[in-house]
Amino acid sequence: MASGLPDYYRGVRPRYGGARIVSDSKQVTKNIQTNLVAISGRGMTYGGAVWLDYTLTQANSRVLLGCEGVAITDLSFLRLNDYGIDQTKTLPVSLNRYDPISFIYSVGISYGITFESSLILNYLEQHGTTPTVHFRLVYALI
Amino acid sequence: MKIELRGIVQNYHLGHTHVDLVVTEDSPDHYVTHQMGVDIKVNRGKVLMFLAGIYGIRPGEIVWPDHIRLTEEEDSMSLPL
Repeated sequence: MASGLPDYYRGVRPRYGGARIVSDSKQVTKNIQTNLVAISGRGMTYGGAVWLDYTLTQANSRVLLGCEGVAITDLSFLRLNDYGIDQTKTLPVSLNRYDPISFIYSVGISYGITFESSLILNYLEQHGTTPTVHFRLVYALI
Repeated sequence: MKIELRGIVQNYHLGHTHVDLVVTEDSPDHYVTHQMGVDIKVNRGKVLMFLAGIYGIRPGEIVWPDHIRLTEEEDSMSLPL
């Protein structure tokens, strides 16, 4: 006698649209937030990264990720490094590389961050300089 | 043809801010992206008129989900620190 659910009742696949990517480099404005990506819609992140290779320190600068107008992560590169926040999914934005000698900084964006109306990726420069920030965000809209 | 807006994406590319509109055409799985403009401010009216012009339909026939919100003018967005 058959038992259990038929196969077609199991594993309902999320109904997201196809994967989309935004990537580029932008020279940010000193001491303020610079918008990198702004999405109005409902969806989910598949991953991403923000990195820069500069000639001066950017230790206190930070990558801001916001959903529905709320900054869900805003720690500086220095704080992420100080407390070892470098595991994917510990926070939506986690540290990949922190090199205060060569001034190389990199963070990753987690998979699976759902947003209901908006997703924003910003960079807040805190040292009075204008570095060029590279970014890549992969996501899908529902 | 049933056109439903699924997302508005503003992203920086090659020195300019590009505004893209993501819509579905008839089928809920058929996503299409339209490049609305470069270095422009958008609002609900502009988006509807743009899509209506592309598809040759009235602006009121475009489905606008409640979760997509635009105020009067939207350009770069800031977050509370």
